Amino acid sequence: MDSITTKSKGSILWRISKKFQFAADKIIPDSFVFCLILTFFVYIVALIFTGSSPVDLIQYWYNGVWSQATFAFQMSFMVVTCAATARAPQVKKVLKAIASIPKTPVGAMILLMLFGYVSSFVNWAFCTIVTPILAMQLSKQVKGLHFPMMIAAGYSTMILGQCLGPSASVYALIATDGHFLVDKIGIITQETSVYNSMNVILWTILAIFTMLLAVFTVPPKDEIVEFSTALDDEESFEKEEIVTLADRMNGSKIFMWLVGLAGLIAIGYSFATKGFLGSLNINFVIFIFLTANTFLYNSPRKFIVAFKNSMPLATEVMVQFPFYGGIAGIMSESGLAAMIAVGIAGIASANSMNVFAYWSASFVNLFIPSQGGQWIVQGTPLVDAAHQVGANIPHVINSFVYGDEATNLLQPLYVIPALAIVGMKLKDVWGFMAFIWMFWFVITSIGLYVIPLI
Amino acid sequence: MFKRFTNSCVKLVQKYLPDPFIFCVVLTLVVFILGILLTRQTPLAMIVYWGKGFWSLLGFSMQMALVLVLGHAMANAPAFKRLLSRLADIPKTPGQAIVTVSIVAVIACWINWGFGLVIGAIFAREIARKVKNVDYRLLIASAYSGFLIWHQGFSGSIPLTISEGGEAVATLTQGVISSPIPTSMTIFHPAVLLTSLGLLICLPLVNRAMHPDEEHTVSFVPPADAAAVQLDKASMTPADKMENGPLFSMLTATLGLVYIVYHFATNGFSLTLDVVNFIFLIVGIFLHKTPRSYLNAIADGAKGAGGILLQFPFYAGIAAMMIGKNAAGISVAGIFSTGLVSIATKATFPFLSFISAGIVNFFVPSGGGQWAVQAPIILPAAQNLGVHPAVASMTIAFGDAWTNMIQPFWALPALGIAGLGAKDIMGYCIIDLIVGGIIMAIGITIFGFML
Repeated sequence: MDSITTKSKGSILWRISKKFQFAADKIIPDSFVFCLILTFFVYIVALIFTGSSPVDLIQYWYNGVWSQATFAFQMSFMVVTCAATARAPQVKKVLKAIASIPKTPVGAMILLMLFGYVSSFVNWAFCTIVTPILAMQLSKQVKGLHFPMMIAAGYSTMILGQCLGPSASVYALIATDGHFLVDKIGIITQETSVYNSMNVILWTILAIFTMLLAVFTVPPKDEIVEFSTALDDEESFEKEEIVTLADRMNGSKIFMWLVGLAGLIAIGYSFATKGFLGSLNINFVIFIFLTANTFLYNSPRKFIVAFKNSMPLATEVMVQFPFYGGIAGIMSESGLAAMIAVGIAGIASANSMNVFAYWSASFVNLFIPSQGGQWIVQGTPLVDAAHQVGANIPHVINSFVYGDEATNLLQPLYVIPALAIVGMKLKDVWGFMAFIWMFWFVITSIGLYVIPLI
Repeated sequence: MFKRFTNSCVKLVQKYLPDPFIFCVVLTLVVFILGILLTRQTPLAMIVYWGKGFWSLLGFSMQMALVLVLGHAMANAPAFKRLLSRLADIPKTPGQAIVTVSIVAVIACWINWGFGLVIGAIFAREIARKVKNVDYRLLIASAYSGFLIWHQGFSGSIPLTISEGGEAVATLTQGVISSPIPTSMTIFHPAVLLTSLGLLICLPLVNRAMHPDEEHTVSFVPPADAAAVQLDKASMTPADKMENGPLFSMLTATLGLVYIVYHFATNGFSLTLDVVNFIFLIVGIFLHKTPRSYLNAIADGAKGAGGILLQFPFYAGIAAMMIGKNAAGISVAGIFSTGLVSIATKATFPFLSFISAGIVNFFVPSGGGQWAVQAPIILPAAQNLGVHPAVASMTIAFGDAWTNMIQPFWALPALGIAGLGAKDIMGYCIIDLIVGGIIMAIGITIFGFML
């Protein structure tokens, strides 16, 4: 590559990605407005195609609005708890130590992404939160990294990791006795569903390719945006006067240790009885961070202050989840989601079924971001269609999961917590996310068709 | 005399009441130890109950957090603020201010507790801006005192639950309530209405009598809310225009308003917590006019929700330890209820059951949770003594609302809005607890004789 052009304009990939980013800067509104737009889009499409009356659709919408309340609380609580952990001085030290290993921008990007894949296998929630924090530290230690790209790349590893991780909700579900499609496909363990050769090969290709993409999308020096927000300030606690018994209790360590001890025992008990992976649902991840916080902030006052300071991060989740619930409500109750699945399956053959399953899942996911929720809506029509054309069931499910995950790069719901932690806006990273998605879309579509034929 | 007693309560609370979070940690430890001592379960068993129960209130916690955040955002809309501010012009003296806030709070909580909790506190804030020399702590305490009435009001979960009847009610009450009990025998029974009226008259007077003299008054003027930033329309990108334009807010509000009208047209005037939240959300979006303005208001409101996020899971853990049964089927909550009830007669049962419910409420603040804990014990016991199931159910409802005055759990949303700590208002709340307790105890006993 010509060194002069590299300096002035960045690599070719950078110039392409910049086009995306330029568009995103102008037209991508706040993620809240994004979800309002989706609401009207789905409303109008359902009105035209499903024959539901306008009032019916409003009722479906309302039925869905509060359906995600539990999940919304988990997400808000997770963001706040994890952010409090991440901002504890001790954790910063550890991450700093990890971040000081790589010396070059390339090394830093690779470290970040490897870390992302591994942590995503462990748990998506954990990965979503920890990756941007590590990116923050790396950006401080290694010069010449484009921070928005790091956030987009880190987020993409979380998404991709789910396609090969045993904890993704569809894979966990179909391995469970008595799941709702057990009559049609039986129980499929992770060995067949996740770790079949097609899935492993395709995943490896995508994983390596994404890393190369992130490494070679190099901006010219003058366009590099490095991490800079005040969010990362350490919690500071001024000494408060201790006068009354109440003050003394507020500053006492004993309470925190007792709670922490109980937390440790509950965690240990769960590991002992359910095993490591069996314990790791979202509640449990939050619980681990919460317990860690009782030790990291060793007095109730500090603990409460740390929580309070992290509260603004939960705002977006609180106000947007009801709307996504409403969108999903319209999609599923009006029959729109099933219509899309059936329509696409109608034109598929045994070979092309994977690709169509991927496309339909990609599209529906824009409106129903929760994987479990989407499977409930799409699972039955997809499996029926796959049986009709005689397609390989585990492969069709793999394709569904790829589709369901991939468009999370376009649909911002899951990236909100990560953005909140680093204090960025959706439009700062959306262009890169769409850029990565475009490559995935091409590779996955080809891969799902070609790899099973070999 | 009365003032001196109030003052010593206020001082006592200032000195000894720690942050509500510690309060709930201490309660956790107390129940943990009680469980080991009274029901002879292993520490590990108690911890396992705790760890499992920790997540049992997730959906409800979100609803509570949203009541605060969405209510706060709605109340901060320019149009709504003008309305409240006009209402706040009515009282002229500190005494009138306290009475007005108390009456508004009692009535609003009677209609709907979620609505009442938020409106009372917001109104109190507005009044603090207008009336000079009024004690801000007492103002917020008065707003919270209205919460005493919620469980005998229109949104009381126990009377509403038994008016629906059904399988779950029959199972929980061990078959005592097999057919629905209409609200005419609970919320709208003369004895209950009389109690509500008693609270409506007495609470404002008591709150007013508590007002400290001038030198002890802690007045506080809440900071003015930040003025809207003027935008440069020319340099806006399409994205900025979407965020700062009314189009999407108005479309969303239209959808929502249609549903709200539809809901009331088909269901009558029924307000669940979800509907209340929905109204707050839609009206808030409508009154704020643009998505950007609404988002800023939400971000502002979310700061106060930290306590709810952090403490509700702990209370869920406490409740799980309270009702965690040992091999013989005995739980800590069960021991409390049976103990108090075992010394009762038909005449004293309502009173004693009310007291026991008050104690249990301390550890299981959620009304629905309390029903689940106490119904299986109280209702069969009532039947044996010949007490009407409607009375027995209402004793739990009364007790549940009563001790909320000294249990900071429900005060959190109001405190979040007011920007105060629990220890600032709890001293006054003790007096409301005593007065309210007397009225409610008399009311429930009369109720027992009438049915």
